[in-house]
Amino acid sequence: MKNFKKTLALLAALALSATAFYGCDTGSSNAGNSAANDGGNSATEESKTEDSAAGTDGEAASGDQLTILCWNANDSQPMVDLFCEKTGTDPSLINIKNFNVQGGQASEQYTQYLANADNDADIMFLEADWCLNFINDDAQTLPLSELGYSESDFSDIYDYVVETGKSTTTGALKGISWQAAAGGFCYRDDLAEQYLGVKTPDEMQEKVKDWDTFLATAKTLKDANGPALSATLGGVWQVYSGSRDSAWVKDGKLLVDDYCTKYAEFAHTLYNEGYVTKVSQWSPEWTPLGQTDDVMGFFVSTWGFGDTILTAAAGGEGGATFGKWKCVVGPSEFYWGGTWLAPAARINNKELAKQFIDFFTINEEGATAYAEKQGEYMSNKKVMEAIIAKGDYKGAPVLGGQNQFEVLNKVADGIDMKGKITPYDAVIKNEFSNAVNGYCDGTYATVDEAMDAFKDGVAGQITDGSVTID
Amino acid sequence: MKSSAQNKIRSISYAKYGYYFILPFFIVYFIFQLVPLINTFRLSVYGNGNFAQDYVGMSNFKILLFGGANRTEAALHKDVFNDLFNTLILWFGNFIPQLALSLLLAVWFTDINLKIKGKTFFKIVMYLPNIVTAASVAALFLMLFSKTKYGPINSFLIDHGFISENDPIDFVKGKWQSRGVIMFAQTWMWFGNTMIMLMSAIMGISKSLFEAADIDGANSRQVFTKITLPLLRPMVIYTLVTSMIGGLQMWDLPYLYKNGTAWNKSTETIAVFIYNKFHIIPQNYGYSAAASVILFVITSALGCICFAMNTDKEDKKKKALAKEQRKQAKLQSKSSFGGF
Amino acid sequence: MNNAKDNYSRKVMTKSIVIMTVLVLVTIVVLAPIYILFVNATRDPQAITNQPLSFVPGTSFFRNIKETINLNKIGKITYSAWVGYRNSFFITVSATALCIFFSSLTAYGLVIYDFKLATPAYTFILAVMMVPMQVTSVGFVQFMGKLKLTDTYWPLIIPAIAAPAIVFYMRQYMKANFPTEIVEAARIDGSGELSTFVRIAIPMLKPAVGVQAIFCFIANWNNFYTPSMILISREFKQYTMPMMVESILSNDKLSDQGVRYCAIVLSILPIIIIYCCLSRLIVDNVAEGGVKE
Repeated sequence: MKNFKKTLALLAALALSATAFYGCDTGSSNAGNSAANDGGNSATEESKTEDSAAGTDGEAASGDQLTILCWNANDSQPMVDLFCEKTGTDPSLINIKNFNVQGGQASEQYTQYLANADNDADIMFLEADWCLNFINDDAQTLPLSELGYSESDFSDIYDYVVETGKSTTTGALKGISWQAAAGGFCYRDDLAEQYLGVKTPDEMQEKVKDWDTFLATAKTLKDANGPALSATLGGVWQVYSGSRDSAWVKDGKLLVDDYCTKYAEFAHTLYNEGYVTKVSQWSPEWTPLGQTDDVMGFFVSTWGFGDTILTAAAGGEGGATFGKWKCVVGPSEFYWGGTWLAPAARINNKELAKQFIDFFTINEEGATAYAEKQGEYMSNKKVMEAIIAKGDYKGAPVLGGQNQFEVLNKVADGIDMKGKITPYDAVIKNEFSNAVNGYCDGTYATVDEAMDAFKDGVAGQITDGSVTID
Repeated sequence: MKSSAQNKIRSISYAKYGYYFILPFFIVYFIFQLVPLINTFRLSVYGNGNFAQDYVGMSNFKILLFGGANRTEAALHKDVFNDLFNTLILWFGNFIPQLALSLLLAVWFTDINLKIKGKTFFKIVMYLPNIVTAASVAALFLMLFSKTKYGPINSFLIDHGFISENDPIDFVKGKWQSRGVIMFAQTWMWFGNTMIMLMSAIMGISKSLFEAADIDGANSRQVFTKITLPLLRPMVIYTLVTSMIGGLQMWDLPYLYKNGTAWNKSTETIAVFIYNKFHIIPQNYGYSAAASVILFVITSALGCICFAMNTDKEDKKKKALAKEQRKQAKLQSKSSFGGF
Repeated sequence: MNNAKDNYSRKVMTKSIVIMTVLVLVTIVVLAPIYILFVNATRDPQAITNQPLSFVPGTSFFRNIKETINLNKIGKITYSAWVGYRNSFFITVSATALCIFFSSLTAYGLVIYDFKLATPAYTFILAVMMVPMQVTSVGFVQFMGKLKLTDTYWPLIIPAIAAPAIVFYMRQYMKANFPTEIVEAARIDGSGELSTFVRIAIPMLKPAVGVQAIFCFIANWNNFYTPSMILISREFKQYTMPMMVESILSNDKLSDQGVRYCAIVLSILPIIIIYCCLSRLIVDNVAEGGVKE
């Protein structure tokens, strides 16, 4: 107890001096900030290794660094690694500002971070669903022309990728993606053979070529007491949402049409007949389903062939089902996710930023290297077709010899996003799929009730009156 | 025999030290709580999202309390009341079992006639969940109660034939199931704390009362209803009110206990509403602040009720109370950590 | 007579059995979630998927631990129990120390000194005691942003100085248990006012200080609300333990169940160990703090 007293007295003394400090600091913001950082992180130095591994190096003066805002390091870290390796750039010149949240929350984190004018930002990673929040905002992002690009520079890039990066208010091109987030349907070929007698991906494609056959195949599987055809409703929704033929908001009005009710009924059938499992997408049980015999397939986007979805589903290298997967186009061409690179309005490192964007989009050498390293289907069509033609790339190991690029090449050709993207997509799609889930699990008794909840949900989120909802 | 030193001390005015000593508290309170509070009130009469700078008068309150013509206003109104209702339900559902259990255990642990083996062990175990971070509790319960057969609880129920494999219980999204889990988790976390609070209150009741009752041949039920409970009344009321104020603030579990980004409307509390409205883009500081002010009014009303209840009691039994009051006061500390 | 005695002891026996049963049941319910957590943290992810519930520990504990520590190394998932602990401890210990010291100081000021504003000040403290954090949070975050204090630890630590409820408690305790004459005696001995407080008052207030320190520590330790509002930039090295847990929760890319359980275990293990070492002290102290006359 004696020690306790001593400690207490010591802490009290420390505390007093700290408050004194504080009193002086509140006025001068920068001093306050750095003092706080020192105070808050006095023990940080010794764990430098962990910190730099996470790629956050906020302590160094970030003014001359290329600061990349992203919500996870799944892409940014390998990108920066490869970029530095191939171009000989000093890694310390690049600062990955990882907010470490789900994609859907990144937008709010960015906004708060950027609200402080002292915070540095050069390139922002923006997800397709909400990229317009920033791309339409000239206070936050710069047109790519400011970096010296013209639209013709991106002639090798898939149209829909370029289209998505354009501001819907001014039409200026403000962001570009390195990936064509096309996706396919990946299935277990051992299960397919066992239950469906399918031997090749082409035969499988026949079994899932559109939604009606998809449903019929799912029924065949269930009747044979077999696995669910697809893992989750969320996956189906990703694909189905891609096949919507109009934008969600037209003339400032939320469009709730036949498409919505049709999907709701479809989902209801899938869910309650056991054609998909009841697991939620992105829940901890989701990918482990791939190691059970309860599920035959996953819908996977280009970024999902690695650890994110498919490799994880197979249990990693040497996992229970590793190498037993195959990929087909599936019922409908779709893109899922996809990250756009946009220069921040406060960019102070244009040259390096341009070099970085170049490297992953129009720089053929860079794009090829990244595609082969990560197994990602790049947005540069020319590069991808060259890789396929060359035949060096053998496909993601989890596919056991199939080259997913060949499949994704067919998918990417079929994607048309022109005029279908709105700034509200993230909110609307999220609310819609929540409402449909509610209909499936019985929270809402009828489709009408679910659609009403959907409208209410959107109304509660888009509060600035820019979208009318009836 | 007054020494000159003593005289000297008497003549010095020490009043200024009083000001010095309470000054840090008031400075900090002013900057970190009073200004923010006033700021919240100010924000509640300003606009939302892109119109955050505009003065809008009482319109935020009008929309939240009475809804409005368009769907957005109606939805916000519905949300606020839905969330207030949830808050009430969740509080009620965890407070009743919590108080009942804590009271029972506290009476047993303080009963001198009962020789309970391993009393300290039980007390220590029961207090344990309180020190586990709420975030970890949410993570843990989310995994235990996972809604499919891959969750431990569901798999247990399936294996023992309580439910069929194709019909697992949706503990995460189901309306009453998810509420039930949160109520259980809250009870689990806080009953040990409440129990110890009540124990110290019971131990504060004069032993002679219990001894007298013992001599008079009162049985334990009588002792409980005639002595323990009446004397504990202020304490129970106090627990009720602090718990209610804690309950109104309930945030961690409802915020974290969900799958992915899908908000669960049946467990969303008013604190979650406030948090989300100024976090999710577009930031609606106005609605958030207005909801805070509504919460403030409710809290103040409850505070006043608590005060009134205690004063009432004071008038009735002045004598016994001086002591009890002190005890209550000591337990006021509970509110300092927004607990239950 | 003998019969009655038998009857009585039989009654006591029955009661003891009933009580014991209830206590054991409650203990099981309390410990079961934690036990399952620890067991699953020792199991292979594949085994967890096949049989989610097990009461027998597995053999993959070290594999899970290794993978959990590696999470951060591969740079994909922000989780480091060590960083979380370091930050949480720093914040919690500083906030608790400040809170206890200044609350006692304020209460001492109110009790010992006779000055004009003492009563109004006390009334004010009483009045604001019930204002919950959530009510002020909108204004708090916005104002901290203006002061450029977001992304620093200041708003997490300094406000602990102004804890009305603890001041209230301390004042009540002091009124009842602290002889004012002792202060005068100290003055005669030439002790300064602050040093009287530190050397004499604080040691005498030990029981109250102990209780409040425990509560304050737990409250700050569990605080997830304020850090998640204030640490806007989500600088990894500023993460507190609850934020680390949230990052595991919200990270949809982590499919390894063993690692998930293990990460939660690491988030609570040290505090549980500390608790077990100090448990007797804590539980007794909390109980006694209320009783000491």
